[in-house]
Amino acid sequence: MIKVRGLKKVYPSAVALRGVDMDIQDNEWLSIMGPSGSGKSTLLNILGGLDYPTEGSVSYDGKEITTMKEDELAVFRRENIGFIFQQSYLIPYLTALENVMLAQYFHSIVDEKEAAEALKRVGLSHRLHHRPSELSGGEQQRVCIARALINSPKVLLADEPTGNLDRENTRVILELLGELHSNEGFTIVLVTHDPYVAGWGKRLLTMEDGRIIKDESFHS
Amino acid sequence: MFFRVIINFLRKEKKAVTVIFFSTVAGTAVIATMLSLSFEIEDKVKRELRSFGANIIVEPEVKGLMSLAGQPHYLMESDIPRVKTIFWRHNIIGIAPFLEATLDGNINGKAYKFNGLGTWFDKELPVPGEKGFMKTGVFTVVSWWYVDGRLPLKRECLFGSALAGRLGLKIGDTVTFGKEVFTITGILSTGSREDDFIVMSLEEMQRIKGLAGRVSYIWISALTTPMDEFAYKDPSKMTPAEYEKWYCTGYVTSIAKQIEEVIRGSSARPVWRVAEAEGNILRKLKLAVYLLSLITLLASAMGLSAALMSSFLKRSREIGLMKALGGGGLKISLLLLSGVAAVTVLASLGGFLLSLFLSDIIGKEVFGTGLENRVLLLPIALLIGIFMTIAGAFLPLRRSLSLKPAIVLKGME
Ligand SMILES: Nc1ncnc2c1ncn2[C@@H]1O[C@H](COP(=O)(O)OP(=O)(O)OP(=O)(O)O)[C@@H](O)[C@H]1O
Ligand SMILES: [Mg+2]
Repeated sequence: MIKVRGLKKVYPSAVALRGVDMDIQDNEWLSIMGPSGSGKSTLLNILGGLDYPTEGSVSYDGKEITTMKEDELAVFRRENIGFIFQQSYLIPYLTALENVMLAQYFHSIVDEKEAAEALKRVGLSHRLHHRPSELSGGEQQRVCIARALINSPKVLLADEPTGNLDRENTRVILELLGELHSNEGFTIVLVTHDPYVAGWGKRLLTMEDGRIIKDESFHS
Repeated sequence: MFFRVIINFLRKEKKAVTVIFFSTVAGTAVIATMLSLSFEIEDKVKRELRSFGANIIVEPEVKGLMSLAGQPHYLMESDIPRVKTIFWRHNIIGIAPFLEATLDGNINGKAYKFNGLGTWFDKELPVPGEKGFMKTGVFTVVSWWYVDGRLPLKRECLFGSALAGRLGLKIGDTVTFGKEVFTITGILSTGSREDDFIVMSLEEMQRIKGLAGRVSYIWISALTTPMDEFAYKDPSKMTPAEYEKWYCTGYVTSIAKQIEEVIRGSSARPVWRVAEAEGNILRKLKLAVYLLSLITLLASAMGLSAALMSSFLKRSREIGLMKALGGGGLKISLLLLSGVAAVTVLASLGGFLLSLFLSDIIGKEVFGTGLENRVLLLPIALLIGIFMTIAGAFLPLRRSLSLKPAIVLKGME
């Protein structure tokens, strides 16, 4: 379980979070929506240990991460978190396969077979040796999903993962995520502007001006 | 994966690669050359410096009442070969004994009292326990003796230039000692007291003075280890272990001590002026070489550092991503440096080849021969290359690794 308490993030020029409290259950699929600048990305980055809050706490199964040092956080990230960003952050000169292997390298040791297997699961077995520039936006995002999940993280954090995709590709990605989610049972926290995308989750948080203003659960 | 990281670096970062390559080639070449020079410099420079003259003087030991008697004391010529049996025998590169005495001479019916000096000119000294000879003589311990004419043989002698000038003598003139007539074969200029002497072979001097086998003092030229703090300790106050160390180090003092032990009734002392000057020159030379190497190292590392700084800056998005993926500092550094290392290793090899060339030129220019330790240059160049990479990459890496992944990723949106 992820526990967030009194989270504030103050930048010199703006206040991004004004006190966020929430609990996220294991295996939950949580969507976060809200207008631009409401602090969604900031929240996600702090949840993933990419950034420190100004105030407040974030704990994973009772373990506080906001007091960890940089290198402890790196270990925490590679052991527990998978990231997917709006832009498919891939290393441009590495092939799809190598981009996935990079995450293995940072986690422990590279295993080409396993990496190829992960790409197969996202439907890219025919694109292993292509560079990002030779892949479509949807395909790139699928490489990112394979990379995010290669080390079996407990939590997948996605910041507008379909923001650059058309409806069809968005659907493909979400179906893929849904399948992996039910198979592997990781937690998903997904930030989006798209109600269609948000609808894939079982719970929706709405943010405004650095606060959570609505917390709804859907029972399908 | 590593391979592709390297290839990408080589292809995409041509400017950085070029800068790194050339600063590493230049740096490793210069430093490898200077260091190998410094290995040999000591020996070579010592030999050059030996032209300063003898650095050890062996005289008869004068003890107690004997000194009051005012009698001249002598060393035995037959003891001299034993100098080549001491621990540091190979460091003895010049030996010349002298027999100094007054000579009653007669020139054109006029009687004079001369200062006479007998010494070895070209001596083949038998080395005990070895087959060969040691070629030695007065010119191995002094470089400032100049003979106008030729060296004297039997019944021949040299006249010091001052003496010859005063008496108006020239080559071919004669001087009579007792019943023996000596011909002047040359005029000796030394710039010191020998200019007032008659100089002949040691054998002739011993014969006409009736002092067979005797010498007054011996000058010795030895390659020595520069005196350091330890060397100045009083040997008589050393612990046995210290004494052992002192005895087995080629200090001018310990060599003198060993010479004293093999020449009966002798007292050997360093010519401090010479010994100290040599030590100072060597120390300063080496210091200069090390400082220059250090400066070169810093300069190259700085070139490397600047190139990497801009290269890593361009790749900060990549680095931020690696950090977001949970990459540890070490693994990210390895990845980032693999390309750099490939370049610097290649460049070190280039530096090695260049240093072969450089050391050849410098060796020939400075010492007249190439340097010998050329194989050593390769590992030295590689080590320096590696060291430069680490030194040059330290700051850029530290800066890159301190980037906040969130900010870097955001900045790229
Ligand atoms: N590094 C930063 N320095 C200063 N201000 C920042 C920084 N990052 C975010 N902010 C500010 O914090 C607030 C929240 O930003 P955040 O990126 O979390 O919004 P968001 O909800 O993700 O918006 P969007 O939907 O446009 O991605 C904004 O006002 C933004 O300008
Ligand atoms: Mg955002």
